Amino acid sequence: MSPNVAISLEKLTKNYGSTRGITEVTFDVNAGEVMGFLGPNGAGKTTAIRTLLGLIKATSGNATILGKNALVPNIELRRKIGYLPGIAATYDRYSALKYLDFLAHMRGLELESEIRTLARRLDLDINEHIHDLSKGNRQKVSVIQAFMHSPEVLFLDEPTSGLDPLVQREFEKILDEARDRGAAIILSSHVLSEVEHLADRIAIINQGAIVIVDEISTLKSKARRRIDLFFDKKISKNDFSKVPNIKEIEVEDGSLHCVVTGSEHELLKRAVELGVSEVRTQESSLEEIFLDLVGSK
Amino acid sequence: MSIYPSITKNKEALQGFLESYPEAIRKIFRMQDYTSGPGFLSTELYSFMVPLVLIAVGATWGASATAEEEDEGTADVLLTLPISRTRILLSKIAATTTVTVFLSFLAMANIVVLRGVVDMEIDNGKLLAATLSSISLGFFFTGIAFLVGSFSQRKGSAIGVVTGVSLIAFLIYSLSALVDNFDAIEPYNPMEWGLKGQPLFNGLDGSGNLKLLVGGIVFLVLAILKFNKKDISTP
Repeated sequence: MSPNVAISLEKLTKNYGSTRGITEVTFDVNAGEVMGFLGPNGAGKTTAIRTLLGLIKATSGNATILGKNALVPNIELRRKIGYLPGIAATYDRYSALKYLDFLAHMRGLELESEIRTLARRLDLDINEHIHDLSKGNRQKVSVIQAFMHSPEVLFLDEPTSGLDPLVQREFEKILDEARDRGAAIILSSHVLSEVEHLADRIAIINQGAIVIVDEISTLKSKARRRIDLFFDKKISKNDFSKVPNIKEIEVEDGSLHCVVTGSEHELLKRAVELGVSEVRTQESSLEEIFLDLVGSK
Repeated sequence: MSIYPSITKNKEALQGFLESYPEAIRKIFRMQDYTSGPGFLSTELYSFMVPLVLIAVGATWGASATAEEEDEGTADVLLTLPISRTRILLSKIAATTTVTVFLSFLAMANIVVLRGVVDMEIDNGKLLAATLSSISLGFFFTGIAFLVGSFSQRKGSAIGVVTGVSLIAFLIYSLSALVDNFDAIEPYNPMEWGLKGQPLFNGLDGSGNLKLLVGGIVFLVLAILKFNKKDISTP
């Protein structure tokens, strides 16, 4: 294991019996890295995060956080963790400030200054009672409780749910600052564009199992891309019969449309030989990659 | 207690009236000596009302302690704080027990203050014994409530189970004076341990209270063990 690894899951499995849990989930997250954790609803994202946090007990496998076994209760380790649950539940009878102060007190910390700073940045009135707050403002309270103690490890389960676009932008800055100071972050989301924008790498999970873990740029290079080639003369499908990595080929007079998976080097080489005049590539979105991978599983 | 003076004024008439009740009713409500201070308090408060209020408080708080946190989704943040599950549960047990003890002594203090006003003769030591017996009963059912709560993931079902168990125990205790078939289970009924000794007449039943306290502790230890291994659910 690299000394920079802050979170490590090795064949982590949670078996619920009849209901699907997670099966042999394996990936690492480095310090100063945001790992986007993607998957359809019910794929196992929340189960994996809650198993790492000790809220549910693993059936088998190993997991470490900051070099410590994450599967046995460790109070010292919990001091270094921030967690934003998928359901932002709080003690509604308190004001936001009192609730956050209570959590800080339970951590043995005095964090009023940090709480006020984060609340100001997220445009939250912390003197309001939580039961009077909108869904978005309650989510801000949850964001503050996860970040207020500057944790070394953050688990964020659908963190921007309910936040308006301006506040989302501020949240992204707060996340970037945490990454810059070296925090390891698992960011689960179904908003693929958000993960694409924020994460350094992504792990895709489907039906409880990891489908792929890779850098976004690498994933994109491996992904299906639609390419349109235009020629000044008529061409036929046979001209490209020996070119690897292409499929779904369509030829219309002087143009060829196809889908490329992997390297497009041979395709372009052949196109140049045939005197290509124009090449158009349609970049795959992360969503297409995601659907490809999940669909192929 | 405000009706007590009218009872003592019409003591003989009332005693005769109560004797006209079927014996079964008098046995169920333990009305043998209704016109005396201990008899009145025993029938009106310490054989029924006070223990059941304490059991209800213990059952509701105990069953809610963990199940409610899961039910409402607040357990996720709470249980990832740097505090052990054992310490969290012990704090909740301490809070529940404090409330039941406070309510018991509040009831006792009311009686001590009002007994002079209504001219009721009641021995301090025996009143304390009745208070402690009620606390023991409340503690026993608090233990059951925490244990059920540590298995359950829903507050409503946890409270329902504990309330059901306590009502069945109380029904069996009430009917045991009439139904011979209940004799076999009588020694195992916690209501018997707490109430049968009639502490307002006979003082503290040490053995009965000890059984309640030990039983309560056993249930609480099992609750802590279970809670430490529990998979916390989401709403």
